[in-house]
Amino acid sequence: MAEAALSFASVSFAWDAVHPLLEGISLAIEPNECVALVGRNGAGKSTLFKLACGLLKPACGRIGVGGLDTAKARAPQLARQVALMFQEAERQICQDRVATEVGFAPRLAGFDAGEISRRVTHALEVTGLSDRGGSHPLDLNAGERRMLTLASLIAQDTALILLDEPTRDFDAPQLECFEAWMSAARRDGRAILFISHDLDFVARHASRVLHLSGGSIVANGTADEVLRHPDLQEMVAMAAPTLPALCRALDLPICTDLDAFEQFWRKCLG
Amino acid sequence: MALIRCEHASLTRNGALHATLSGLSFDITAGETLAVVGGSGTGKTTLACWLAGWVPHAMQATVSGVACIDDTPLAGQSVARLAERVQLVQASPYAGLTGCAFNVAAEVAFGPENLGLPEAEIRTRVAAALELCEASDLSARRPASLSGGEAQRVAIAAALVMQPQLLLLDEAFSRLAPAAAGRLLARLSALTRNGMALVLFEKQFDLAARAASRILLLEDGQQQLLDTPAAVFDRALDHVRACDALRAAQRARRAGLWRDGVLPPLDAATAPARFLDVLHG
Repeated sequence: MAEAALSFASVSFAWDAVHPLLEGISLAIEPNECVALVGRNGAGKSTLFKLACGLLKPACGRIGVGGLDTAKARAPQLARQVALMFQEAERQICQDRVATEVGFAPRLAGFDAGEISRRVTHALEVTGLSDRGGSHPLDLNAGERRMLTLASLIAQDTALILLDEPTRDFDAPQLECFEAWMSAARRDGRAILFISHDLDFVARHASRVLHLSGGSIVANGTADEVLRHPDLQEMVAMAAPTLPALCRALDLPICTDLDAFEQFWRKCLG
Repeated sequence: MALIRCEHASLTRNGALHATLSGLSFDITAGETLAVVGGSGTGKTTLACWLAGWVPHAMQATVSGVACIDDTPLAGQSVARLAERVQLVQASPYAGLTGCAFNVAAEVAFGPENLGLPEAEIRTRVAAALELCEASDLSARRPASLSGGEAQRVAIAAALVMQPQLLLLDEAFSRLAPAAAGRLLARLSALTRNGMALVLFEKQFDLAARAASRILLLEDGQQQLLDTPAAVFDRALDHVRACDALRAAQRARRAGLWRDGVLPPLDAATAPARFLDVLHG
């Protein structure tokens, strides 16, 4: 069987000895999977991501990324396998021009100028930033800055992609652009693990949802099964995912996409 | 009398060729909740900073028209004096941290200490603000160690502890889990019943519509609409995010699959009833 894109085997981590944050976490993300990680604020989701890409080392257990042990692999090796979109774009961006920022990872990976330029041009096109290549990253608005961090991930071109609250800064058109990229990345066979508090977004994209609570994964299932939990949202009839909930309330076939809903609703009206 | 009054107000940042904000005409009265919504880069943050008194101290710009707090122009006010009445929670909660407090309790106490309040009063205020924001258990933590959602709770507590007349929240719930955001918004809405005015700067329509009686829609820095959440629903959803149940309603309305006279839903909870109104008349 092919190796998982990401695997945690009995992983524990603590910022201090008294308060372990993660205890005995085991999980696997396969190529082609798009998995959401949800949980309360402070549950350790972002810490788990930093472990997954090797920025932190586990206190015990093993983390595998594309056949590498993150505790032993060197950063350049890991950077060819896994890309992380930080929760705060400002903590990720380190260059003073948009195009230079996007070319940062390919440059460190040692690609020639032609390849770097091709990757940067493609990434800026996909993210709608082609006319902002010469701008200073901090002159971009929050949504564009988030797009810039996505462009950097696209240029890095890894099999495993970690997205920490990727949609928070987007407006409606930017979210549409981002979701189009996400669907294309899945079709390319990439493995995606993402954190999001937008539970409808989770339901639209996650083939599986992991709920992190009290230091361990307490649920692993479909969005409809996992998201209905008082840790995550108020337990009301229209709790997210709201489109299936609306279908149930209107006695329509359950669906998770708006095109299907419109068809059902049209038929319902006769 | 309006707490905030804007008439044909415009703002042009120094060095910019075009106005960042123009055509703003609205007022905010004590106890009111107004939401300012719009897409990325439409000027929401600039307006929030202007209302917080950043011009010209922290934001160099030329302003025209009327933009007043209690009939005194906002621009040029003493920031320290204005901070007693107006508090802004910025979109990045880390931007609001002072960097000179060793724990969260001291961070939240920073504002009241600078007002020279008695220690007992400061302790009471800090405890109440942290409790309201569900952040009491963070009081001994180092501010720099907070997660995004935790930092956002602390930033809101640090604003509330000043007991402002006007609280400006620039996407201040973006890092909170939905359950926590809902509870916190309900508690802030309760404070408006005691006279605090609240302005939500949002890209999330559901959240804005849940609390605000009026919504101001910004497009390219211009005030396009100022009306009830139901009246701005269709146009606002072209620009800002909304849950799938509301998106379904907007698409149904656009496709002619809606009944005249039935208002759009403003949150997921009311969506089934609105669709059933369309179905059954």
